[in-house]
Amino acid sequence: MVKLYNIAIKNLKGNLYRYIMYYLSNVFTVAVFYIFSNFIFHPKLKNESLAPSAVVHMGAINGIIICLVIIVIFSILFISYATSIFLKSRGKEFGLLSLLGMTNSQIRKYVLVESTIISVLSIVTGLLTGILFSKLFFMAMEVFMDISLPFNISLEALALTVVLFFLLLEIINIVSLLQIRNKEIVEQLKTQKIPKEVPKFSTFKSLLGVGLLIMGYVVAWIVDDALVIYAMMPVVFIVTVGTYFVFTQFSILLINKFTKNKKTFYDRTNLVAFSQMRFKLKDIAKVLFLASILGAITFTATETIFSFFTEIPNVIGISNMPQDIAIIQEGENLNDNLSIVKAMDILKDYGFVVEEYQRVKLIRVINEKEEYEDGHVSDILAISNLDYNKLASYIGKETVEVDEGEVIYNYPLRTPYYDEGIVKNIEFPYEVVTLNINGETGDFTVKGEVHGSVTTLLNRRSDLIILNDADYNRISKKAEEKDLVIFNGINIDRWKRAYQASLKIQDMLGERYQEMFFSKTIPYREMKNFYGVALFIGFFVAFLFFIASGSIIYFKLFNEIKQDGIEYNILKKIGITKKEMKGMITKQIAAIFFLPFIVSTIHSLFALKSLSNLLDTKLIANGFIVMAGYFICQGIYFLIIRKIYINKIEDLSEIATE
Amino acid sequence: MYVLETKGLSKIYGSKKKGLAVKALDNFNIAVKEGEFVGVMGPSGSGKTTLLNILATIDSPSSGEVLINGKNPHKMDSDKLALFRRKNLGFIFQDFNLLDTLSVKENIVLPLVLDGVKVNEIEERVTELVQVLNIENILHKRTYEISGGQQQRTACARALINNPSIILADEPTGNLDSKASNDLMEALERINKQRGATIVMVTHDAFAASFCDRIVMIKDGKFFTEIVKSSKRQVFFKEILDALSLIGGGYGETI
Repeated sequence: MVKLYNIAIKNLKGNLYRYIMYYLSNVFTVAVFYIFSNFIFHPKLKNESLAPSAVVHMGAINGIIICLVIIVIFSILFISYATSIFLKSRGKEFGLLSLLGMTNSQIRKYVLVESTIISVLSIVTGLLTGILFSKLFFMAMEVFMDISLPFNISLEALALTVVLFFLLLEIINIVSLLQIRNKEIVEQLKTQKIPKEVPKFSTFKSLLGVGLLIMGYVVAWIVDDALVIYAMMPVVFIVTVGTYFVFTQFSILLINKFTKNKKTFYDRTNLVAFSQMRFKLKDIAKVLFLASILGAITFTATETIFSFFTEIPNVIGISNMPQDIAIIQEGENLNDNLSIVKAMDILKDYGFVVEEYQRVKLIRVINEKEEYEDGHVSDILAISNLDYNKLASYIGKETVEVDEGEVIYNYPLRTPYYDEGIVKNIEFPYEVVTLNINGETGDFTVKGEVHGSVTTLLNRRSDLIILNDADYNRISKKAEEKDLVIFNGINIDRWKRAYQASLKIQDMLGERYQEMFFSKTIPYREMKNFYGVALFIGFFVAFLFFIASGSIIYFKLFNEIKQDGIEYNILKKIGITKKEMKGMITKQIAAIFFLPFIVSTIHSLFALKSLSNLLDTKLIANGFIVMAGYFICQGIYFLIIRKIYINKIEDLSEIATE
Repeated sequence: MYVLETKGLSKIYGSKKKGLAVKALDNFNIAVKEGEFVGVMGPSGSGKTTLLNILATIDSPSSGEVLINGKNPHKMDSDKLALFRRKNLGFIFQDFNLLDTLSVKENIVLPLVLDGVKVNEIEERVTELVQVLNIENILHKRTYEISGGQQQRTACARALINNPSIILADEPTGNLDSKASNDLMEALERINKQRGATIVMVTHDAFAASFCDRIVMIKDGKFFTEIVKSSKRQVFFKEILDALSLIGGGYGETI
């Protein structure tokens, strides 16, 4: 056993380049898993809520639990795939060992020792990395969620990670080891010597693949609104099948077409680069397909979240709220001016400058035209022309002129096409309205309606009816205290930062101002936290997928590196410069690395377009920012792999010379 | 003026400090004129492969110099050297060294393609050359679909396609049966006689060597003797066998 262990260690050293990416991917997975579970098991989360808003709290916890599950499922797939690649690539070695008289069970034991060493190493390094970066993760969460999370190493999380990953790795290793069958030794020895056939393709399948892709794209582009939901599954299916054929068939067809054109094919290093690439592509097509689909999903998900994150004011509808803070006085609070003064003081205490303070008196009147079936009549708030124009001009909205005996209806929502000027008969289809105040009625001609709110109010209170100042004064004299509503609108500098101050004001105002106080920083902040956490976790998981799919491509690539080494050695003797060799390798690796990236990007572009159709927002612009980020990561990864590959090839072609 | 000339070539493997130094070549001189077909023979470990590697510029001498067309390639940096090999040298190896990923034709044209020669010219040269080597029917096959002899003639075509100053062949018949060896050697002889190609061939095989104009014998890294073909090949073959029995080192037993 001791000797077996020694062989295993030696073999590990020799195959280091093969294992390094597998090891690093495992380390990363373990680290992320530990960081996430360390967060879940944080003692502070057991006792108190994560964030003031329950939505954010539950969202974050559930989000992370889902991520943990995804990580585990993903690890199972990744590890079993990687293990099977390793075992396949070592057929010759196993053949040789059995030729030397090693029994199958000894070989299994020896491989198991080897993989256990890697497992233990990657779990230990992963945990150390995880512990190290837990602090950073906590700090990020603190920023996103406005809580304080003292550094903590959860032993529960530690135990969970160790046990789970050790079992996972060992079980998968044992299962795949059982697949080393008693092949004929000769066959095993030959595993890698059989020259590869020229990759074949079917023109029909290639064209089918491209056709399916185009079909999926067109549908995704044109389908609108609710139909998107019905179209989604079929489109995803069509595009997935299309992608499969594009990688396994169309890519070969493309290269074959290229090799038919002697002008470009017989152009210096192209000859070798494209011939080799043809074999590599065929070998790796399925992996590239998987990487593209995985990439498309993660791209789309993170791009959507990012888009929501940046567009929060639009998404939650606070972008058309003119005042940052609104307090409404009515009923028992009508004369409570002290609270308003206190609110201002709180803002000053927190260092905010009140840029504008508006105080407008509104009168609740009954619109007799609007009678519901149950006999209940609708009331509406009246505003004077003067006050309306004051509010409107402050936010840069057109002012209006209302003559005596006329009214203009102010619809609180902004509607496309009706944003500017006075329009007629859209939301308020009356020629004449009868307004009733404490039993006295008056008829007014409706001059029209203006869209877009001038007051940050709540719910239906935002409907306004604009009266001529003289008419308003007349009604005002009839009004009793119960009919009066005082709107206080405050604009401050840096409203996005007024979260704490707003909470303080909310506290000060207390129960009786429930629904009478609104500060747009509160929903803004809560949504920002929610999407911020989602974005942060999303990028973590995306990065995990990214590393893993890159690693699988790496394994595949490095599996064949010996063959490449032999070819480059021959080329070296014929006489190729280092630059030419690097050029050939770069062309091939770039194709293999960036093909899935390009396909994922295009897929996610169409998915975003489709989502934009559904949600009526513009996701694509923000999507591009995320894509640029991914492109940079991919580029860095590519450069690293290219460097390792070139070094290894130089080593291999050097050895063969001697 | 010689196409190829070496002056006091020595090669020492290993370090003297460790006491394991082996002298593979010891003050070895050879000069080859244009259009000559020279064979290098010697027992195993005599240094003939080392010599060929140094001539091929894929190994460098410990001391002494190699001049090819008057230039010393070992003084060039690795990139210049690569281009030098591509333009001036043609190689034929024992194990063919063809690229499996390329077809027969693609293997042959590789040196021209790397040099950026125009497609028309490439086609012309291939057509001419494959007739001499009798491989025009297998141009579109893969390397693993053809026999060893055909593979070696493909390698020959590749070595010749850029009209190198000198062709270096390392045991070209080592992996071939006698029929294929004969075909190959006849092809090399045609290339030498009809096209005036200069060939230096290292070989074990007295039969293959008998196609040369001149044989240089090497033993323990030193020049041993030289025999020149004066009459028919069959006579030259006997002379070679005689010389080999003198040199010893395993050759005696083959007779």
